Amino acid sequence: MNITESIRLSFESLKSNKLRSFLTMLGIIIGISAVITITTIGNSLQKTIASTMRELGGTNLIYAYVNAITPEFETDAEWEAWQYPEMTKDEQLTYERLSEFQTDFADRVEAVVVEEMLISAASSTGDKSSAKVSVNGVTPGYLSSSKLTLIAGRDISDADNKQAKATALVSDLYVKYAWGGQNPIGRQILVQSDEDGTVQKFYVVGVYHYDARKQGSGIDTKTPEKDTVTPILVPYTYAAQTNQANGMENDLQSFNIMAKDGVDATALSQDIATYFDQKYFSANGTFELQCYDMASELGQIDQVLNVLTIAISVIAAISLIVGGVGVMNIMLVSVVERTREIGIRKALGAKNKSIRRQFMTEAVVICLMGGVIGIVIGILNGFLLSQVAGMLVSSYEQELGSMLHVTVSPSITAIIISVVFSMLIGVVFGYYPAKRAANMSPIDALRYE
Amino acid sequence: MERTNVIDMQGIVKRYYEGEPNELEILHGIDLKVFQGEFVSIVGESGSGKSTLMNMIGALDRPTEGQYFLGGRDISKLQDEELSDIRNQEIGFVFQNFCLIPRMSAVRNVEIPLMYANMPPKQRRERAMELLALVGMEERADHKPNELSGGQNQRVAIARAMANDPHILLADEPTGALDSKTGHLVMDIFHRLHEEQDKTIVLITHSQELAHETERMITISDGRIIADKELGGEME
Repeated sequence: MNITESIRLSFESLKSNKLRSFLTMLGIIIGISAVITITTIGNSLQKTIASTMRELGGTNLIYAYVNAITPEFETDAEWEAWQYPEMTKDEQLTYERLSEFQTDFADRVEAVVVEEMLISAASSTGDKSSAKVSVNGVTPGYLSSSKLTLIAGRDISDADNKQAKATALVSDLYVKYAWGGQNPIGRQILVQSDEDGTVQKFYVVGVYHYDARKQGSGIDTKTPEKDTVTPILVPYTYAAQTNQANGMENDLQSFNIMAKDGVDATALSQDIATYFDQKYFSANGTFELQCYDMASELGQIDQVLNVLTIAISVIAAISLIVGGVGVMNIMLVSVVERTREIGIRKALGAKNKSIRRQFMTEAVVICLMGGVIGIVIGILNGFLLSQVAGMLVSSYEQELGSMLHVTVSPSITAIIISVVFSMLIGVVFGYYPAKRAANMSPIDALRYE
Repeated sequence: MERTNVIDMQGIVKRYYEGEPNELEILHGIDLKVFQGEFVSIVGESGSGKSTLMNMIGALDRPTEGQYFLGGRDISKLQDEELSDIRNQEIGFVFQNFCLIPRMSAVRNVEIPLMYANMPPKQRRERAMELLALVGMEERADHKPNELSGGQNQRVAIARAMANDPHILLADEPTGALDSKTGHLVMDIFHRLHEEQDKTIVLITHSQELAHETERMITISDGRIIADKELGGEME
């Protein structure tokens, strides 16, 4: 009698008592589906977050911002009296200081990206009609760090910034609606501010592809494409100087750094913070530079998910052991119930090992079926819950939701482990009942009524 | 015609609870020879030890003392696994209460001994159908035991006993659970197998009437053979 024979016999006997077979499996089904559900959700979350982060800048992006060191407050009054300190000239971040930093870190830093809003709402009229725009000062590297693509012409250059030229990158949407698709590169455009009506002139040097998911933050996604406010990108220095000429203070508090490929972003973050702290902030000790890199943020999320997965897995393992005991219990009952059958089989020539194998196979088949059903239910659960989670995030956080692309991917490792584990439960908890069946004396078994 | 021994028992003793205060000796030294092609009945009251003797003959149990040659081979000291092979190959059992597995169809029941003899599934099915045809049950091959009458079940059981073409058919009260008419039909099958296939048949019964249908009647009482009588038999 070979193994396929044993499996066939097992199915025959499981079919003869369907409800009981199902109830026996239930413990295993619940345990395995819990593990698969949680690992599917965890895996999907990890993948979703990772892919979203990659889309939004990748793991080589570091955010840096200046932060005032808050003293230890003894009393509430002290806390209330505390005021955010003013930055001295020596402490202030400037384009020149960031350029110097970039030169110092040239071996590890690809680009230092700074932004300054020049005009938040404006309109610009092309050959065809007028389009809504904003004007934003940026440094080279803004496009690549935001994962935006240049379609035509050239990017804002370092030279543009050094000389604070009135050059501009416009969006493809602006070209489409204001210029009727006619490329305005090399031409002068006029931008009229909605606030004070002032008009500024820019020379178009390039066109980039507008991406609502990456740039549309805070903008109602239901606005028709035609009326979308798309940024015109100009040199950062131009925006900063114009703002200062209009009486605004230098308010450069944060910047982004793109690390070169293969550079450890977490180590780089620390070095950058130390560099600025020592160079500009150590004299007064009121400020510090805080750096966050995507890689370590991702790592933290991974850690939380891993802890969660382990916790649920431990609970699931307990439920699997309980399920296994259930299987053993039913197998013992089944052995007693089938005492006569065992006797008949032995009288007809079944060896002890054939009987043992038959009962073992039955236990393994029950557990394996439970495991497979549990895996299917778990994947479905994980799929549903991931989708629901994605929808919830979208409904509470529209900005975030519009960026999220929920990828559902069950963990292959968890599936393999589940299959192996459920078989193992069958073997472990099926062994004793099977041994009892095998060692029955044929005479006693035959006489049993 | 030279007659060969199929069963040769010498001084078989069976004791239970050996060495304990409640030690019990059931068989007190049985000497028994059964020849190839004989149709023998073993008769005895209940408690006479005939069931224990049947277990010995059927290799379901080992004697405490004595030797048992089955087809010339001493099997009294064999291990469980070897006894399984002997039960599978050399002995066909027919029980009073049929002993069919209820959730399996007739043909699947007949296949069981063939399965334990490692016959491939296709061949096994063919052989099982032949055997069912032999007892006139081929039409009911797919019926389960609870869909068949007692007589039909016993015919399926006989087909199963014949599966591996054993030397001996060992029938324990085969008509005990049947009415007299179907009982006769079942006995007819035994007679036919005896005549046509020269099977050695050992019939265990408490019924004198049934025993008189056989060629030789062995009477057992209180663990001893008290009579061993050649009968005319039907066929002579």
